[in-house]
Amino acid sequence: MDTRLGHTQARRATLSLLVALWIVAGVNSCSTDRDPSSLFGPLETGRLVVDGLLVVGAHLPEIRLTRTGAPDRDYNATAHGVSGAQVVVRQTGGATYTYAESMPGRYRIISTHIVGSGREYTLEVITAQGERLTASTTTPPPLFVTEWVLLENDGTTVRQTLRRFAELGDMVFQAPENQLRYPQGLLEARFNRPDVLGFQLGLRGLDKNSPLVVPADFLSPEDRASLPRSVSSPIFEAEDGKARLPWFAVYYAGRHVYRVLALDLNTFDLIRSLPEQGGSAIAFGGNAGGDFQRPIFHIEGGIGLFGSAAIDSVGFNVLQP
Amino acid sequence: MIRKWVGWLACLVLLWTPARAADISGTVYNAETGDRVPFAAAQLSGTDSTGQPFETGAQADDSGHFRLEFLPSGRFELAVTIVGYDDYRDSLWLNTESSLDIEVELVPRPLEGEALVVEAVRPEVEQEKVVQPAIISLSAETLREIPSVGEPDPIRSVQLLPGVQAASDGSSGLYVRGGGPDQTLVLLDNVTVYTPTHAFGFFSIFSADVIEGLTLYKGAYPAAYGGRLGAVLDVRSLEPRADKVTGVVGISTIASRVTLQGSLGRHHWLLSGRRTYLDPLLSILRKSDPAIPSYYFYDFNGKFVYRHDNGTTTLGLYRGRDDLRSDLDTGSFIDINWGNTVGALTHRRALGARVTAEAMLAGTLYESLTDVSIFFTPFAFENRLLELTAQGRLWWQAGAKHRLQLGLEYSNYDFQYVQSFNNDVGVDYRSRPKEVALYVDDQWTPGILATLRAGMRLRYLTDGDRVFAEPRVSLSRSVGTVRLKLAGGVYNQYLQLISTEGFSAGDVYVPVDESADPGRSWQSVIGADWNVNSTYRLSAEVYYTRLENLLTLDNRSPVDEVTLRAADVFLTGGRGYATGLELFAEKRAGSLRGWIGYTLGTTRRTFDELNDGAEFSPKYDRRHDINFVASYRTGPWSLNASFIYATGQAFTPATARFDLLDTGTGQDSDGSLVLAAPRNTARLLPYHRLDVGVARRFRLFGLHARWIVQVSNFYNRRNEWFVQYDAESAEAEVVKQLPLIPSLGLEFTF
Repeated sequence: MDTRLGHTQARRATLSLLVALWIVAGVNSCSTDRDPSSLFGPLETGRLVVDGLLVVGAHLPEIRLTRTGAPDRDYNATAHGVSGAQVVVRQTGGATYTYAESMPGRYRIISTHIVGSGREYTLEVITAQGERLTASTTTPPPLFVTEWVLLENDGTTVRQTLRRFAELGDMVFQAPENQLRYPQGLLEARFNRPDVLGFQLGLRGLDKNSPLVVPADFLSPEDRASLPRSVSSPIFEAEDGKARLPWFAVYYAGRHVYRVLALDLNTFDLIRSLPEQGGSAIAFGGNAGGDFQRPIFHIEGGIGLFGSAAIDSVGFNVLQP
Repeated sequence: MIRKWVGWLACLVLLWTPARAADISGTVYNAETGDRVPFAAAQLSGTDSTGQPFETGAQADDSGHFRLEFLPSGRFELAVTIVGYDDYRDSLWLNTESSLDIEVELVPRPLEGEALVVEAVRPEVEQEKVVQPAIISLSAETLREIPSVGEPDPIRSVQLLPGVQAASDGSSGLYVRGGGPDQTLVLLDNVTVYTPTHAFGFFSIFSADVIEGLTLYKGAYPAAYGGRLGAVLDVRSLEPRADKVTGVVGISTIASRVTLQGSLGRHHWLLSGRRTYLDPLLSILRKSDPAIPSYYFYDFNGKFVYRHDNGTTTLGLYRGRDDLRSDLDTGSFIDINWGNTVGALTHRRALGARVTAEAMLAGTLYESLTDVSIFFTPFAFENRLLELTAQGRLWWQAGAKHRLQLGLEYSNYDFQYVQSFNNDVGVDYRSRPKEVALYVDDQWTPGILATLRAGMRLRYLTDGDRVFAEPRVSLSRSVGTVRLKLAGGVYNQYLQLISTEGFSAGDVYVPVDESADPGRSWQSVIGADWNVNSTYRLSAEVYYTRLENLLTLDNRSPVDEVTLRAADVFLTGGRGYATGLELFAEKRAGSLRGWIGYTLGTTRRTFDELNDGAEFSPKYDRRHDINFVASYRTGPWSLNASFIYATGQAFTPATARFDLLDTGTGQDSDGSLVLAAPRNTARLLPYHRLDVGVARRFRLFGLHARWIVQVSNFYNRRNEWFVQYDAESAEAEVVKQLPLIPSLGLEFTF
């Protein structure tokens, strides 16, 4: 009897110990904290980054020249600007344009040259340290949006046709046709599709203090405050020559510019391969998992963009619901 | 040339064996009614005349016939068992001239309490294990005892086998020997089930109460199966046998379930249902946070077995549904529902003493409907995959040494995918390809010690007018108590899955049309099984799989892609290999049962358009994988535990930050861009998790009852799921997997 009692007590003691150990383990949890630096790969800091987008029908753009920074540090492009470089753009079979540094990492040219369509431009950069970066772009055909229309929600009936910058200049924002009440109708750009690989849409809010129009009580105040005033889309094919602006791109009331960009190969490849652009329709995108991969740059001796686009745009004003 | 001769020599050595052998034929009867008893298990075990242990088995057909062949001389015990009858046991002396024809009378036994627990692995599975390497089976009893969250889960249990991995705690996808989840064919009673998961992959659709057992071919599977590059999971639903109404009622923290079975004369039926009841809890939580969705899933199983003089006709049905709805705000909601419907009508009969035939008409439907609106912008995705199949199979005992299996299958697929965005239909895809498959498989047993199985599967696909010839071979040879095995085969995969990596929802299956070549694999396995005795079994296997024409989702395609043309949706022409060593030790009898397994593996992929064309590890490449499962029974108590240790998954780390103007707006971007290192060149921390469970049987109101307490992730290790780099700040967030989750359950059997 005593022996059995002893066994029972021993079993209870063992069980109690196991339960206590489990509670301690559970409360503290099994740590999987790790050295944050182990989340980053072999560093590629100090690589040359170029940024220049030629727009058909516009003057030659500013060229920005920077270097990559550490992946675990906040990045400031100005602080990583590359000074003292020779920056040259050549039009194949045409003139050579030599840029001058306007501020650290930014190079400009004063020229009356207008970027033409279907032409090849080559960039050459030689840094003060002797590094050489080259890239070429062939500009796309011009893009002309024939109609900017607001459709009924059925997606077919035209409610109103918006006025163009070419007609009214900045007065388009006051034109009655260009007043859009959130979230009524569907804004669509209609164009004769140029022969390009793809398009991008951009929406830029011009008023910095206009109020939110989205009903978003399910978002935290911080998330609501971080809703952007300007957004860009992933790549579109727009096979039917139409580009419809989704209302989820519009968060604020006020003046907006809606741009449609017809892209050259370099810009098309960069945008479609940037993880931050959100991936394709059936992939989630983002800087995680299989979607986090190196973009396609088409640049020798560095990374970044030297590309071109043809752009058309419209201005409108978003009214409160 | 020398290698070729060595190969032939190895085959001859494996096949050489004494030729003379005994055989036993039998018929099983109900001792009270005189009716024949179908599907009883006949098991012969003992010691042959050389002193070596010998064990084999067979299952009686619909007419109660069974046959055991190629038996050595010696002293053996014959056991014939089936649920609902007392076991039959008899001692036999056999010599090589013996050819016995016996009648077995089984005495009916009233079913009590544990009636629905099927403890034995089916004999035909044991027969498969004789000739086939890379095969493993789990009985219903094992599936019910392995700890899991809330509900016993057969697919979660399969993830505890060596060579099998899960993508995450929340995924029921099976990554078998370096293959992706769509490279494993999942069958329920011979009918394909697409995406067999509930709750975004957290639970499988298979309720353990209605599963009789499952068999996993991890590679080099035989000609009777096809259509996948890697593996086959063959799930068998419970065969109702009870002569009076019996059932199981289960209540857990996640769901309630009921399973009933009974008879109508000599015919038997089974009905089973399960539904979650998180809805009221979520409803309460939603009052404080509108983003919390409402969610439930249910599934239903039904089976009717009609036994008649000409054989057996079985009607089986499954239907399951998940529904998730979240009303976020005016103009913003999410409504997703998805599920499977599976039905099969099967007729099986004996055509004489040596031939059994089976005809089946079956349909399987997977559909996923997503209706979302975010800030007044609607999205909709509708995905339906319907497969209608007619198939005939024949098993023919052709003489003393050959067992042939012939099959003809016709499948009619109907793929539909409609995607609309912002009230504009972008993709409206429909494809109705057809497939005819013919296979033959001969199991040649030249003597009692060796078996050669050779098969060929011919497939014709209307899509692309393709013909595939897929030879399969396996060879086994006993050396004492060790059985050496060798197998290989060619496999083609025509369906491709578009899915997310971390969880299963909104899966889309796409046929590989003529714009791309379907995936192809060459598999080879060599191994040895050592049945130390009836309690312990050890095995070791080495495998190598070469893969070609692999496809992977092209996440760089335009968002308004209006086709599902394979060449547009996928990156094509991928190559790869998977190789490894698996060690497995199992204790199959006694109060303590379980297994321990270890896998040393390597998997690589190469796509011209990924990673600059350089070879890389897919995320599920794991160098080391250890699995441990144990179940201990003492009196009414049962203690269960499972443990996994695995090398961390591969991921792509960040290597630098930079900045570019936003091309769409021409403005500075809000944050910097993150530059990825070469693909999957870093590893998450090693994954390990211990699950434990305690159960106790007792009686309540005259019913057999059992309570179950289970704790998933017992020591609360927050394993890493994936790493997310923030574009706006210089941070890398490690998203963790599930914490410790306790669950309670109570079940009654009657």
